[in-house]
Amino acid sequence: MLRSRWMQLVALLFVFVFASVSLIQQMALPEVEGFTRQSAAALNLQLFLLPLFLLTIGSMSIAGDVESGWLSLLKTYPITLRQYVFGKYAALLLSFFVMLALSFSVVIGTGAFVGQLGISWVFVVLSFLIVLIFAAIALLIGAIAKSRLHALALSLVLWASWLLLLSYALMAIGTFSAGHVLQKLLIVNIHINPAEWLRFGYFLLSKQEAVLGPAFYSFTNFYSSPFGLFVYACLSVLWIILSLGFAVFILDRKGRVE
Amino acid sequence: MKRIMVLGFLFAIFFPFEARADELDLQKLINQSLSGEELQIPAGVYSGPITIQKEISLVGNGDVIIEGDGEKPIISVTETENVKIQSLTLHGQGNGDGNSGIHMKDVKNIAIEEVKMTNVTSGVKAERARKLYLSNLTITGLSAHFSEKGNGLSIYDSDQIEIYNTTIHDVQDGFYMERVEQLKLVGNHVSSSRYGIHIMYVDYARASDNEFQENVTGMMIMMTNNTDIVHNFIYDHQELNGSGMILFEGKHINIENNELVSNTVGLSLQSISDSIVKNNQFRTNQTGVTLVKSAKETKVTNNEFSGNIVNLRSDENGGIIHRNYYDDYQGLDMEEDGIGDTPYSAVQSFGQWMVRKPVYQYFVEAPAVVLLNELDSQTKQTGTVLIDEEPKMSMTTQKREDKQINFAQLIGALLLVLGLIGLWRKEALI
Repeated sequence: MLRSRWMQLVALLFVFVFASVSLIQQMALPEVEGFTRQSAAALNLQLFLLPLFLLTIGSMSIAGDVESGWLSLLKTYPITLRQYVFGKYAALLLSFFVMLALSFSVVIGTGAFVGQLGISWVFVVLSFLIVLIFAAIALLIGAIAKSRLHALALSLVLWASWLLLLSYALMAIGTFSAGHVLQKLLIVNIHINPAEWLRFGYFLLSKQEAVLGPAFYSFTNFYSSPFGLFVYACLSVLWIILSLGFAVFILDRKGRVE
Repeated sequence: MKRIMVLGFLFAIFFPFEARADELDLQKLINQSLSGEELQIPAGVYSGPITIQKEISLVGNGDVIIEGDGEKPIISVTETENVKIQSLTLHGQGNGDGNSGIHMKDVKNIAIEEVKMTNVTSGVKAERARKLYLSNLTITGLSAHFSEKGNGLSIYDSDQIEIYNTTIHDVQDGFYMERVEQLKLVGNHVSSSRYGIHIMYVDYARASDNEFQENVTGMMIMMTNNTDIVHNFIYDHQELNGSGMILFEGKHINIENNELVSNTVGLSLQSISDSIVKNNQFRTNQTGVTLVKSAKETKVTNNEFSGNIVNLRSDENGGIIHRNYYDDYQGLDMEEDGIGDTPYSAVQSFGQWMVRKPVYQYFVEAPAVVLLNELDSQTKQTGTVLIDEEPKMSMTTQKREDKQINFAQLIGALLLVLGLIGLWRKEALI
């Protein structure tokens, strides 16, 4: 996957944007603990860019194999669908891990000039978690899609919905519903929307749950407990396993129909 | 025998015997002293509680520790005047209401200096006191929930109170003042408590050069008039409902030259009128300033807002903002007079929603909200409240230290980058 020109361009773009934003924020703001505009900007950048790249590249990778007949050819080899999907997953993970490591190294390097480390461990962990979850989802989308174009369209629709549209819809519902109704809808959204799940994870790991406000006191109290963190880890793993499992299942069904 | 002597010697070095001074009955000494006498207490550990009902100076000579019984205040001062307590350590027992350091009632002209209080539910409590001078106290509360702790210093129905250079931590409220006139708090430090300062029904108060850190709220000032809050450093109040400073129902309040950094809300003004907020720095707070029912004759001017997620927000009444510096102002200064040519609007759709419905705080700086705020600024949906007609173009107090290049970090990062590029190329060539 690292050989792909598309992947190399994406890596270049990502490293450039991430390093630029981090450097500008480092120079403009003092280094402080907590949820600041600096950490928010970096978090949003990861939440916008990583899922977009992962979903499009990952889904088109499988859809392309199906569309071109490459997958049918592969099936004539002694390889199971499970091995095929996990191979794709591993390739996607490694490519993005290298890309992330590269961008973090550049940020740490530029941080040396402004006297700051430039990046927190929570942020690093969360970035890798984004890759782990969205790479699995990307492969599921690829398995569902009928063609590369279909995979691209599905990826973009889901990306926009998870990052923007669902939030806007909930904000709109909040204008005419009671606060406690919106609060419950938001909690549901956290559990069904991987982007929100990961954003929430950032607050949990950085012990900044208070950012979400007093309306979420009980909810954040549960998840910030050791048992809650264990549940968070289990649900994160479930996102990955279910996505990959369904991808294998769908590809298997498609094969039988053919 | 020799071995026993050596062991005994080592034991004496590592576990020195504490000199107890129980043979000296402090209460008896106080009772026997003449009015106005200075009583020098020799170093040692004494049993409390003790009661003072006459003019006297109690001065510790060396390391003087008075232990409480956990039921009564370690030192009680009642119905007297001209008392001085200096250079003592008061050590409390248990966690009951009686486990307090010093309790004063109906007193006048009292000075307490260099007194350390440890393991106490509450430090100093005064009722109906006049002319209190407290300085260089250190109060350490208990490790328990706020509801099980008392206050560091609590003063009721008193006047002419001055408190200097006192350090308080792990209590409910650092300073709790109710119905006090002419209060001065200077150079104090309160941390890890519920409120740093909590004052109610106070007239003519001045809090200056204090530091508040990691409390639920730094300063909670309620139903208070004629107050000066200047040169305080208030930071890291990041709990749920945490704020640097909350002012509720007050008049003629001057908030000047304070630094409010990394708080959930920097300054919250609620029903405040005829007051001024000027020359303060609001940095990296989630919300810099919140104005609720505080539009009437309260002016926010010449302040600096930088790195806050939301600079200002208000209810529909808004507030008067004038000549502040805002780091998200996007206007130009063609006249080069240091003032932006176009007004600054602090109103963001999202910021207003947060005031009206707190559950919206969930979306703070979420990707969708960032885009919404950008649309706000592009479409110039400014509204009619929180408009600064003359925003400043630059900060006046910004002091950026000259940073040294960290060569080790730079070389490490460069090696990592080169290694990763090498790995990429190698994989690509295979």
